[in-house]
Amino acid sequence: MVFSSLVFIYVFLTITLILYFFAAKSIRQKNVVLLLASLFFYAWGEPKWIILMLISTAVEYYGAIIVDQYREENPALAKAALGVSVSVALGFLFIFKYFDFFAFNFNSTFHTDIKLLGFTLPIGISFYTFQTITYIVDVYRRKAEVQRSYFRLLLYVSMFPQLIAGPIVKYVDVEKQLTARSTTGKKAGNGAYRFLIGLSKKAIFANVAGDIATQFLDGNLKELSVVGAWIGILAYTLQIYYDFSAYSDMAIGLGKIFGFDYPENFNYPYISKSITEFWKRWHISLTTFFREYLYIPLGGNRKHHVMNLLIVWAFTGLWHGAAWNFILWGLYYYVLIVLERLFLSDFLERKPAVLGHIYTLFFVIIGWVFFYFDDMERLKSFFWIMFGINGNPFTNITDKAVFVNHLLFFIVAIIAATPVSRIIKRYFLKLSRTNETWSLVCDGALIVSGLFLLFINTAALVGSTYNPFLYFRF
Amino acid sequence: MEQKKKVKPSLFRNNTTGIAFIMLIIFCLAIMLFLSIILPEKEISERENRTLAKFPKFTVSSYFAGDFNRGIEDHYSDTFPFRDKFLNVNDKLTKLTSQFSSGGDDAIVVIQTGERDLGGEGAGDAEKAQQEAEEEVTD
Repeated sequence: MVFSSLVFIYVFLTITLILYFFAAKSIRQKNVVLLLASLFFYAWGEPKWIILMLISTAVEYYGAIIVDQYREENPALAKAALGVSVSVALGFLFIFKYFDFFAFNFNSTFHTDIKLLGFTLPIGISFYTFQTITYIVDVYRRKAEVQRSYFRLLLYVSMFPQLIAGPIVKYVDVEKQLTARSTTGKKAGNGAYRFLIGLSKKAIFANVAGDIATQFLDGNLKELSVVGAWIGILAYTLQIYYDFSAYSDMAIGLGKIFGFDYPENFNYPYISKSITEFWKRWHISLTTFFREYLYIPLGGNRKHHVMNLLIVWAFTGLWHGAAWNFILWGLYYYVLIVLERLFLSDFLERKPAVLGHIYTLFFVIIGWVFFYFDDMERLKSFFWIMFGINGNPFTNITDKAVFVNHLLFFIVAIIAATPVSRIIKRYFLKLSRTNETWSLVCDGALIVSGLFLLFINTAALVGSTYNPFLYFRF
Repeated sequence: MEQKKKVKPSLFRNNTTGIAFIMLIIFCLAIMLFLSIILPEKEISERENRTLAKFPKFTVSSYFAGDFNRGIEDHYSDTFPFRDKFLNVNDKLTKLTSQFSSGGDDAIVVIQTGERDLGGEGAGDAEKAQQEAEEEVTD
C-alpha cells in the first residue's frame, strides 16, 4: 500500500484519522491506534516478514536495557550488548539485502557454489534497521533515555508515515513525542497541506516525468538519439527528485497531523553550487545518519580522513541497493567530494556562482545514469550515446516530438524544483497578515486550494493504474 | 552535534482555520469511503471496454504472496465512486501536461506518452500494462 494509492488515502488513512481524532481520547489510546494502524499497514505490504521487524525491535529493546543497566558497573558487558544488538540488526539487513549479491560475485570469482537464499527484500528494512541503531547507540551515548515499553519502541520503529521510505528519524528526535505531544489545529492543518503537496509531487510530477524517462531509458539503446538520451536522463533527474521528496513531504505531513516532528529530508537539492552542498540538501536524514553513526565514530576528519570518506561513500552507495552500479555511484561521489576538498571548492568559490551550478547539475545528472542502469552493458552504451561516441544519430523526429509535447511540463517541473514555491509562500503569508480582509481571503484560498489539490490528485490516481515509489526498492 | 531547528512559518493563521481545514479533508475522505460502501459496484467499464477487477478470493497462499491485498487495491480503485468522472478530469490533466505543440506550419508529430513503439528488448510500459491487463481478464 503506497501513500499515493486510493485505498491508502480513502480507506486506511480515513479510518485511522477518524479513530485517532474522534475515538481515542488519551495519548495512550492515540498511541494504540497509531501502533495498530502501523502494524496493519506494514502487514498489508509485508505479511511474512513483519516478524523480522518485531524481532529486530525486541533485540534492540532488550539490548538497550542491558546497556543502560550495566554501563557503570560492567562497561564491557554494556559494550558487548551494544555490539551484539547492532550486529543482529545489520545481520538481518545483510542476509536479506546483500547475501545473494556477495555470494553470487564470490561464486563467479572463485568458482565456488554457495547457495543463494533468494529472499525478496522486506519493505523498509533499510530504513527501520537504521532507526533501531540510532536508538541503541544513543542510549549507549547517554543522548537518549532507555525506553521501558516495548510497544512504545515498536511505535517509534513502525510508525507508518516513515516506516517504508523514510525520512530516517533518529530516536532522540521523537523520544519525548512518544509520550507527550501536542496536536494543535495549526500543526494538523499544515501537516494535511504538506501531505497534499507531496501527493501532487508524486501523482502528477513524478509520474509524468517517469513516463517520459522510461520511454527513452528502457527502450532499445541502438535506436536512441543523443538528444533522446539527455531528455531521458533529465526526465529521470526530475522523477527521482519529485518521487522521493514527495514521499518525504507526505511522511512529514502525516507525522505533523499526528503531532510528530520529523526531520526535513530535502532542501531544493538541484540548486546546489557544489557536490558537497548537494549532499547537504539531498536525503538529509541518510547523510546525517552516516555522519553521526559511522563517519564521526571512525574518526571523522581528524584521522584517516580520506579512508573514512571512502568507507562512508561505499556504504552510501551500497545502502541504495546490492548491485555494482550503486557501489559505482557511491564511489563516484567519493571521488568528487575528495576533489572538492582538495582544490575544487576553493577554485569554484573564486568563480561566478553560475559555474558552480552548472558543474553540480552536470555531475549529478551523470550520477543518475549510474543509479538508473543496473545492467553494466546498458550503462556503458548509454554513456557512449550521451557523448555521441558510438555513432547514434544526434536527434530524430520522435524524440523531438516527445520533447516539444512535454516542454511545458519540463519548464514547470524545473521551476517547481527551485525555491520559487518558498517565495510564493512568503509573499502569501505577508499578504495574509496585512489586514483582516486579506486574512480571510487567504484563509479561504488556502482551504479551497487544498481541497482542489485533493480533487486533482484523486483524478490522477484514478487514472494511473501503476505508480510505485522508487525508494521502495531500498 | 545539535542541528539548528528552523521553525517554518505556519500556513494557517490560527488553530481554528487549521482545524477547519483538516476536518474538511477528513469529511471529504469519509464521504467517499461511505459512498464506496453504499454505491452499487459496476462489473464492466464501458468507457475502457474491460471487466473491472473483482474482489479477490482469500487463500492463505495468496495472502502471504501479497496477491490478496494487491487484489483488494485493484478492486478498490476499479470500483472507486464516480470513477468515470475522475477519469475525464484526468484526461484533461494529461492533455495539459503533454500538449504544447506550437501549431501553425511546424511539422511536429504529436505523440502521446506511452504510445511510442520502442521495439527491441525493453518493450514499453504501456505494452506491459496492457499485457498485464489482458492476463487479468483471462484469469
